[in-house]
Order: sequence, then C-alpha cells, then structure tokens
Amino acid sequence: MLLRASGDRNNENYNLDSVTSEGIADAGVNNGAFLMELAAAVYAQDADVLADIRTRGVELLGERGLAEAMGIASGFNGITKVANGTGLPLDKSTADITGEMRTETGIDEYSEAFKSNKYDAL
Amino acid sequence: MKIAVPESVNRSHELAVDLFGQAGTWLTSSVRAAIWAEARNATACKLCQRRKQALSPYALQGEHDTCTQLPGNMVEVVHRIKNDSGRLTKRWFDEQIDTGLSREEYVEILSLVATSIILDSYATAMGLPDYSIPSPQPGEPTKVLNPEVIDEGAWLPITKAKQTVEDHGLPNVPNIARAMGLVPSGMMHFFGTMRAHYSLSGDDFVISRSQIELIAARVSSHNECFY
Repeated sequence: MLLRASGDRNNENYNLDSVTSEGIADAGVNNGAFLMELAAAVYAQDADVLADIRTRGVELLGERGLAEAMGIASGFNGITKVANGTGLPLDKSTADITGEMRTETGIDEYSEAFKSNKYDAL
Repeated sequence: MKIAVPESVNRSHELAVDLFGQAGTWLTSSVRAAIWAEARNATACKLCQRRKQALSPYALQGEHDTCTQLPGNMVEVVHRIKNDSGRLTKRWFDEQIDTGLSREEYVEILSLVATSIILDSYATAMGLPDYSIPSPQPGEPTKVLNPEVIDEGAWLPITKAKQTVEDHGLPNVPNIARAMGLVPSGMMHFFGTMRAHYSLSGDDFVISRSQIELIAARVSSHNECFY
C-alpha cells in the first residue's frame, strides 16, 4: 500500500501487480528486478543465493544501500509474522482507499476470511 | 564479501539478543532463550516441510522435530509462526489458546519468534555468523496485565490509541504497532529491533522510498501478509 503512496508522491505509476505475481519484474522502480530478487532471497534464506545477491548488490546499490535493503527485507520477514500471527485487520483509512487495488493485485487472497475458507475447509 | 553493518543496527541487535536471556512479562528467561533455539531449529522440521507442501497445513498431523524441552503447544506456535505464518487462521489460534496457553503468553512467544526472525534473517543475508543465544539470567516474569487494550477485529485485543491519518496515508499509530498491546514489553522488544531496519518517516536512507517500499511489499507478498 505504501508503494502506491510512494508512486503518488513522486508522480510515478508503479506496476503493483508485479509485487504479488510469480515472475520478476522491475515494477517501474529503479533496480526493481534486483530488489525483487533480493526480497525473495532474504525470504528463502539460501546462503549461496544471498552471497551472489551481496556481490551484485554492492555494484548496484553501494555497500550502504545494500545493507539497508537487506535490513528492510529482514525486518519485513519478521513484522509480517506479527500481522499474520494476530489476524490483524487493515487500518480503516488504508482499507477505505485500497479496495480496488487489493482486488486487482490479489492481496485480498491473503485476508483472514479468504485463508479460513481456503485452509480450514480441507 | 564482508558488508559493514550500520552502527544503529548493531546496537539494536545487541539489546535485542540480550533480552532473550532475561525474564519477560509472562515467560521465564530459560523459556525465552529456548524459544529462539526452537525457532532457529524449526527450519529443518520435517512435519513443517510436509505441511508446507500440503494444500492445507491442517490436513497433516504429526510431531514437530524439536530441540528443546518446550511444551508441545509452544512448539506448535513457534514452528507455525516461523515456517507458515501466511496460512494461520483464527481457528488455529483458538485451538492454541484452548490448549491452555494464555493470550499474553502467545503474544510474548510471537514477539520473540518475530524478533528472532529479524536477527537470524539479517545475519544470514549479510553473511554474518549466527548470533549466540544468551544464557538465561536470574529473574522472574512480572506478570503485569495491560488493561489499555481494545477489540478492533484482530484475534486478540490490541493497544488502545486515538487515531489520526498521517501524510503517508497510515494512521499515526497503525494497527501493526498496536498488535502486541497485551504485552507492551514484547512490543518494545520487537519494534526496538525493527526500527533500526525501517521507519515510515526515516529519510536518512541512501536507497529511495519507492525502493524501500518495493522490498517491503515483495517480502510481505512472499509471507502472504494481508496487512
């Protein structure tokens, strides 16, 4: 949701579909494809893949930029557990303005109601 | 290739690591340290791996591979949060509470697992050695209830807060910052770590805000996180 807000602020239109889709695309963000790879690698925690990401990341983002990117990915690897582990609803202001975007990108499929219907029934 | 770790991250991690060895609000220091060990071990759990491959994790029963003396209900909570949090449901949560785990204990476990994930994810991502899990220190849990909570539609009551919407479109106190309100010490432990990695208002990053939010959104998607 904040990616869209960031695009609005910069008068840029990012491809939000790419965030939830299977493939790697740049989403319209500078070095976006690499950042998507980095995010996947931090989530998967494969040491060999991460070593390659570090080598390429220093070239693309600089040492400090890479450390920031790794830190953000690691942080969100943790904070998503807090949201998932509490069945946390969206903030009302966010829910009010993101309905269409959540449907289009498939984010609604991560909702508690959707997950309960999908997994508890089996 | 060795990448320098920012000093602010080093400081927050040192503090976060130390807190695993101290008594919390509801859990003893030995349980807290064991929870980190169990979370780290959970990656190799065969039951979790089979459940991850199943259409529904609830279709498979069995025993977790455990490396601690933690009770079974705590092991289940630690492993599911670590390995498959994107498919947790309210029914699963209620079942854990029905085993005798208090909501406050659940929140403290959640805080510890989520914090350990930040620490371990970062160490692996940066090619650093694992942090050493601290030895349990003397002390007893305070068992102080926080009455300043409210039902806002989550599985648990969250922190009471007066809401206004900020420039970035989120409330001044977003739900994620209120989610672990039943155990303020757990909330502070987690966010004391998280804040060194990310903030909504931080403008001292060398990468751009759109790059930051792309990483955040992509990791959230991998974790099947609605919030």
